[in-house]
Amino acid sequence: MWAKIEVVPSEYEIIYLPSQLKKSGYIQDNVVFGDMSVRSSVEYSKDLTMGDGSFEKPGRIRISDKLMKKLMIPESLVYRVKVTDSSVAIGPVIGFLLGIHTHRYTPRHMEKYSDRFGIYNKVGGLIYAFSPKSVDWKKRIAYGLYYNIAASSWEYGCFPLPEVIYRRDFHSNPSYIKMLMEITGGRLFNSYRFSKYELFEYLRTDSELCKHIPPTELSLNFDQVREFIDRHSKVIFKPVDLSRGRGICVIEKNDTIYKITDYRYRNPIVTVLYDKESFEKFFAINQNLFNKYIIQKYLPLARIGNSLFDIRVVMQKGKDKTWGCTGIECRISSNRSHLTNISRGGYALSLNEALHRAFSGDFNTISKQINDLCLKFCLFMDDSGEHFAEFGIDIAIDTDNNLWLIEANVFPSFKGFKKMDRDTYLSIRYTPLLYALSLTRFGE
Amino acid sequence: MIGILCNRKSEKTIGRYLHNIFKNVAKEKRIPVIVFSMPNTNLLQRTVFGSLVSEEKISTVKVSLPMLIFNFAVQKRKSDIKKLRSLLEVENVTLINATNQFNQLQIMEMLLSNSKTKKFVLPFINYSREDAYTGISEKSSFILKPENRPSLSRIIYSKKVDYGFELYSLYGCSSCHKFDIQDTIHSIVHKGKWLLLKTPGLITYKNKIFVVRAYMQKKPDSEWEIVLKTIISHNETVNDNLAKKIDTASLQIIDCINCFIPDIGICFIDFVLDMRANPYLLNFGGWDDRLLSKKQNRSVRIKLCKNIMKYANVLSENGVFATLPGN
Repeated sequence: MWAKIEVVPSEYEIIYLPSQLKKSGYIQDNVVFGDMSVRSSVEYSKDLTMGDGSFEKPGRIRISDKLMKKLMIPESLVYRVKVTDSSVAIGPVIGFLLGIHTHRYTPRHMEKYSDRFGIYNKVGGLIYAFSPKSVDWKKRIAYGLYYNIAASSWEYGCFPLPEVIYRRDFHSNPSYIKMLMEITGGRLFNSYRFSKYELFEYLRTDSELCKHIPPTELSLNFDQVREFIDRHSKVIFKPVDLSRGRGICVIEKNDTIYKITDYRYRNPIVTVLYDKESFEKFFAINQNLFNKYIIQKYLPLARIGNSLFDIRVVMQKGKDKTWGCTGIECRISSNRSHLTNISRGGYALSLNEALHRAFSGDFNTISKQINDLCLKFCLFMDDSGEHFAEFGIDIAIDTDNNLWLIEANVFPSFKGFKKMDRDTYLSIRYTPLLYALSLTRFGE
Repeated sequence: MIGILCNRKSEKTIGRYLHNIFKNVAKEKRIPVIVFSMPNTNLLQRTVFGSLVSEEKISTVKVSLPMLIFNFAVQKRKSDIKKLRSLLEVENVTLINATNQFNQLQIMEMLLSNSKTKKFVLPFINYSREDAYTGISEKSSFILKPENRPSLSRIIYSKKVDYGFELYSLYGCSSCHKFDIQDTIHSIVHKGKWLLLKTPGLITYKNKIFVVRAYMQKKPDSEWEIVLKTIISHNETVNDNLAKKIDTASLQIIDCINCFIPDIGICFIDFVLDMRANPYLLNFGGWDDRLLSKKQNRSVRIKLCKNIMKYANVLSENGVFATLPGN
């Protein structure tokens, strides 16, 4: 049932439910909210209504102020109530796991999460954001900000640890994540972010997926890099743990001439070096290209006009707990740039539009191949032992129509969708909450 | 090793100054202290270049990033603020007082979520220069303060009187006719975000706003201790009766804020008082250079530094400074 809570003064822990919820032959003696469980009296009353089973017309339950305080239930929300043989559950309680910059988590900061609540009437309950640093591990409670749907605002509070956690930051100490995984029984999703190199190493272990990985090495020293460039002529350097096209450097070798296009600066710098000595000197000055960088073969990609393009596929687990493609867009680089990232001047097109412009013939096969590859990727990631529910997968198509997995990000940005297709953007924003609901005790 | 992160300009001075206090304590505890500034921090190499305070001397050295860093600085340059954020993300480094500037709106919203502390928060609204044109002359007494940081020098207490308002600041008092208040307020809030706090009649003293500041620090057992209380507006000491009220309010406030922002180790709270001497929050801040100033009682400074060393010692005895979660 959906319910609004009426708080009544009492020195005891009591909950009053509509009599229709009574299960004959069973006695419930505790109330559960998130990770918190409190022994209490459960009474049934005929004057409490069930509502019509929807968020919009919820029923009513009464809870004593003492029990409310112990369970830390915010009063203003609309909850789901479930009666089992031995307990009454109120919820759901879903958490957004933020990072470690606790002083930055203000109601204003949280506003960027508010558009996810367009689906709140299908989820209900308490949805709050917290930092692992503001968890009291002994009491199993967290200090954070919850979304007050009645006021459309984020408010500070203290709550029991959630049933399900949606990880939104990847700078936390792994020991925090491990503890939260244990507490939620593995219901913390997006539990890990592979670095680019780790991901390629993992994907190489699959006989099918490895065919879609461009030749990639960890950039370690000049000799290794020179040999790699000699082998592939054109290569791209990417930082292991940065995204959105930050820190990229492209090197092209033509006989003894090296052309370097360096995107590590706000405006890309093009340098042409005419001998090996100058080339070696470049790396002597830019030693950080050997620190947390990968070097990858630069693929001869298909183009739309003069521009490169890649395909961003959003794969998410939905309310049925299975993977599905919830968004797909093509990102076209600005003229002559190697980068397709929207944040670096690229723009978005629909897949059909882009494929139509790039390949004049039948492109339905390519669409299907992309879908199959992404699904295969997600299922293989499920075997990694981590809990994933969302990926932004970047796919590129070369001039021979081969598909290449360029990158997969567990924390993708959806800027292109936001501009191009608002409905798809919102659907992408809602899906993790529906998946989270499916993992709670209220999931259908 | 403990790191003291300070502003670049004051690195040498603070180094010398801390040396006087730290040399004995450091020797006793055998924990070296390095004083450094943000521009001399290399996060890529995980090194800092600064003044190493140990036993009898200060030497300039380049060392590995200390595992425990107390932030005694306010970063002003964008690149340094960004670096401070990155420093917090460095594995196995604990940064105490990682907040560069406390947002006062955030602090008040936190306090409102707690039944024990909401009484210290005066009713407030966000205020901008456009708001100065609407209905300011009809308002009762109010305080205007910047939202983004604790800034005592920019706070104005506007007390309603027959002809208009008396405007009290840290520097004195002026009168303002109700027809002029709009222009006066507009010139004050012309830049940045502000908060307008509706106040009861507040205590003023010697033509200045009366502000009590409590300095606090976290002890090794995680309890908070008030190290000093002062009438900061007048540089006078706080009497015993008032001190009790300030102590209670300060401890309740820091207990609340610390739940949301756990890495605070040293802080200050400014209070204004109504006519019954009930305290209300004016500002919440982290480190304040005044704590190390020579005007301050030496025993306060020694207590502060000893406590930092004890805190470091307890953490080092636990085997790790940063990696264990827990409160």
